[in-house]
Amino acid sequence: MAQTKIIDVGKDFSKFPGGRVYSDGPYCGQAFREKKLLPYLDQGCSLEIILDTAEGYGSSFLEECFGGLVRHGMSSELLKKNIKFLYTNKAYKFYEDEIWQYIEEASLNG
Amino acid sequence: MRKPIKQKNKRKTIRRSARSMNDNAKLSKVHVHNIELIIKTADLLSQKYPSLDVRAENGRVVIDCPEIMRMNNEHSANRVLDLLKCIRQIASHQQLSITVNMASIKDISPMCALLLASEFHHWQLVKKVRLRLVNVDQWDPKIKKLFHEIGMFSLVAVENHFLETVPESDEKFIKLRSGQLVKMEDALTNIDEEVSKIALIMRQNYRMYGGIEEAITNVTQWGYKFEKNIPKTIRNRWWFCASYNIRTHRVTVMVYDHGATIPRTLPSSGRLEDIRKFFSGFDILSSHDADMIEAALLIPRSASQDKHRGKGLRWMKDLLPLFNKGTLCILSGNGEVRVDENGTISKRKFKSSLGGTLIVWEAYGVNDDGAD
Repeated sequence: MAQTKIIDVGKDFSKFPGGRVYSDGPYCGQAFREKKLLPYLDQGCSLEIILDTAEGYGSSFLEECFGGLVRHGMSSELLKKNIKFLYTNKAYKFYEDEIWQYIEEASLNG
Repeated sequence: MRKPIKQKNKRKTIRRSARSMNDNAKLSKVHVHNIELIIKTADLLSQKYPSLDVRAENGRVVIDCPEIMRMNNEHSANRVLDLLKCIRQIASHQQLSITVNMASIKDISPMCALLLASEFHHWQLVKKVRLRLVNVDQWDPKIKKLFHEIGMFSLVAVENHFLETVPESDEKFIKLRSGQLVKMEDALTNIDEEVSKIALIMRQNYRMYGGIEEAITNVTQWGYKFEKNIPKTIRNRWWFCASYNIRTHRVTVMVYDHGATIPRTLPSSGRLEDIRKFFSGFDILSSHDADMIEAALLIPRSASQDKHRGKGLRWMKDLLPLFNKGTLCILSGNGEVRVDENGTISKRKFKSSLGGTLIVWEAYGVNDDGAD
């Protein structure tokens, strides 16, 4: 059975994520994807990502992180199956919706 | 045969005196040359920036700040833009001593205070000198208080013993911050302690974080991309400031950079085809900077390899409907575009150019229930 890994963005990565790639800064989307997501997804793990422990997100961060998973070679179907977003603050549904939109767009753009 | 000691010392004294006279003559020559340079520079700047008062005085180039420093009318706005350009032009000149006379300011908006403070910071970083306050006792106390509250003195590390009693203003500031990476904690750390209201409003309107993050990421991704000769201390640099008006309940957030400007970077960003399709007949050669900013704001990318990028400005615009009333203002190059919460756009064109991009959100009627 596939293992489930819980990733708390604010505790395990940064309360203040920002930027797209490493040249933007250390807590960028590329860093989160490569250090926190890919190591587990590549092993076939499922992820539960706690979103609302970070102060917020920008589109560059989210798109690079999650759209970047598709560009890395993962299908949107696989991601829908293996990633779940958790938050108690309902305002963060906006971010979840944005993430799925970026994943879809990245899939369509091939 | 040895010369008597008295004669030998006399010759040494004569030679030393001669050297000293030569050195003095050399110093005088250098002094005269510097004075000539200062006078010539002041003349050139006066001609280049006729809206400003620039003069040579006491071995320095002196630039008087305009009395009114606001962007709400064309005349005042152009004077402000000229001042900023003038300071940036001569601040990097190693041989010149410069004074920017701030005692002449009678009225300044927070936006212009940010622009001016960042220019002083730029000056300090490039010239690697410690700035000094001069004639501070002649400054208008309200102006001094504003610069103190906006954090200019701490940003450029000058001592300011602000002792005057000035009535509290309605505008409460988070002190100016600056960085060169997208490190959001550099922009947002300690805002709870400074203006708790702003921290509360941001927590209740989470997307504001995203808007600020977008503005700063745009600086590092695009702002300085095509600038070749930018000093290391300035490259990718942003300045951030925010305020809350306790009377109007207005939050203002400002992000500023000294980079290449949106109108200058847009043609090289691969979006010209998108822009031409959107504005049929768009001619980049005859377009104005305000048109280019509008295009960057409204038009999605269609080029498939880049469709995943360039969402930032639209994300910033999309914040506005969250508020009862709000505007996003983007000032870049010679143009300004304002968008309100209904999506209504207005544009302005300036004679002078802002050497960078300023993004300002103003939001009224934010959700601040339960705030202290």
